[in-house]
Amino acid sequence: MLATANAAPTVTSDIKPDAEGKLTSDDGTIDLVWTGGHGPCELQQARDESFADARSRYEGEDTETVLTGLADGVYHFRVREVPSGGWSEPLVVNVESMNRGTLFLLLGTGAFVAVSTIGSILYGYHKNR
Amino acid sequence: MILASSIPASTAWAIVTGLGVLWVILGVWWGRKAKTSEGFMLAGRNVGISLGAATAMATWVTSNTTMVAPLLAYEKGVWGMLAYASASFGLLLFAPLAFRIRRLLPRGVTAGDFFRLRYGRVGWAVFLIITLVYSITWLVTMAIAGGKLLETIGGIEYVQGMSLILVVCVLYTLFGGLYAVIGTDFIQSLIILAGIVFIGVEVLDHVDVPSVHAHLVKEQPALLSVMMPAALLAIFNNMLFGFGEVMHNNVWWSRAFAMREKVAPKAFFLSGVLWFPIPIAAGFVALCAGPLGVNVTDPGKVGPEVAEHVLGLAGFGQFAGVIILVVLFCSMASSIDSLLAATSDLLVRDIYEGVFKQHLDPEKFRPVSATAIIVVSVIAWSLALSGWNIDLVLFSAGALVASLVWPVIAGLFWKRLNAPLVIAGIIAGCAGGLWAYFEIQTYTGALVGAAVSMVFTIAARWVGAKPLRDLES
Repeated sequence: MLATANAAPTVTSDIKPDAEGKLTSDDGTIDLVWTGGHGPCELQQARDESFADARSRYEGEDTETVLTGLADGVYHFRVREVPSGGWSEPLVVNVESMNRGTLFLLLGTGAFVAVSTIGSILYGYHKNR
Repeated sequence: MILASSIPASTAWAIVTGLGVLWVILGVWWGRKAKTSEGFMLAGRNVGISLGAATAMATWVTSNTTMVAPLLAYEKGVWGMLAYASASFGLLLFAPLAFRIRRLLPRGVTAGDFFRLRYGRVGWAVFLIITLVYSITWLVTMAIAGGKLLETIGGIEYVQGMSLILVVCVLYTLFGGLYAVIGTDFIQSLIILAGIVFIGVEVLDHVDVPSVHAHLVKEQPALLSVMMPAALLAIFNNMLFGFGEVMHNNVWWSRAFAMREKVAPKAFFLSGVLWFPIPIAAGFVALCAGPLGVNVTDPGKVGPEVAEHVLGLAGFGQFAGVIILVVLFCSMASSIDSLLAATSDLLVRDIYEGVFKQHLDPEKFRPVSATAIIVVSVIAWSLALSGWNIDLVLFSAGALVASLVWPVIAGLFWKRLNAPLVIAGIIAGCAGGLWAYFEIQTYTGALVGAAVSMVFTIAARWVGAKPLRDLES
């Protein structure tokens, strides 16, 4: 039991891994859950795998968080008990938005359908009033 | 976040039960006028502009507005906030449609009447399947949101809270029909508006907008990006989803039939204008989560969590929880009751009388209608036990309802159509939209569904089109 209490926490995400085992978010939202902590924990986020540019994203008693608004890129996360517990193994998550070709095709379709719908209603109303 | 309930469970029970008793008393009082089936289902077709606009606005302010709009803002940023607000266009555009509906179907009772007359029994059956699936889905999302709200604010166990909210709404809808629904909607709309304005003012008073901006730039930059793909898609998807929800559902058609003829278009337009800023206000609250240090563990609860935090900072203590609970309970009740009433009308009028050819005597109407309301509620309750993610459940229905937008427009305004081709378009739109929802992105279902259906409907005007029955004469 003592060994378990001193072990570093583990951080995971609900994002399903792709065929290569990579975790990828397509909308900049990442949910994180950590276990194994005994008390307040700190969550760090970094773009650099060595955590040279680490910044603290959460510190407290909670054991999960949902981060949003992350720009495209690779993110590394790790957790430790505060103030001086050992760091968890890092969790690597990619943020990769839909490719621009598909996006613009869908946006163009959406704009065309929306404008056509509004136009047809206003035209129909005007013609039949 | 670890939820330290802001009010004791006993207080939360008392608030919901107390409001429930008030709605039931008012429901019974107003329900006295409902002496005929038309009185019960359509409030005597005599609803004026104030009640008409209030009921449309209050019905559209659902738990999805107060809980999913903040979620969209938290996950999709400024575009997400505007995307949710674009659902108001559905109400605004229903104004000219309501004008046409009243002219074509002056004695209409449900949206099913229109589909049966325009697209025959097959089209009517397709419509019934879609609208019943959608209505149950909408009801389930509100029951789930209600359960989560009572769990967050009052510490009431999820299943108990979800059941409590459904039971209260079922009771007063049973007693008063549309009279009760519209009357309570009026009071609830005033409470919702006052509450949202109050919470919005408190948020602005306790949050430094430049520091919110600075936090977002540093930690959540994509929320401010003009090119966030998921958020951009959400704009058109939500708009078309909103069109589909309003244009096909009996909640809105029954209101169009219930209002005086010249009132309906004005009431829908006014309700759309009044509704537009609400999701923006609710969304802004969610954008303040990070700067205020609120750790979000379930984006579906971000709105009430941040509001509670801000009102706590303002010194409201436990009263903060009371305010939020009252406002959000009103937003849920105003939609759940409308949906129960409108869906049970469909079951009675279209399924019981239409499909099963049962003649409904005046003395049998109330028991049959009550049974329909209870059946719908039990189905919604059993599905809501899952506690699914509300936005995923809600948006899964987008493909279905968006596929009905163009068939409604064509059926109301056009003189010639190939009805089987339109029906094929509805089915293809549903299939294509659901495929896009699961395979491309969550916020593409309604967009693809509407697009596919539009292509088929436009083709149906030229390919094999036959003159439509002249309903005006």
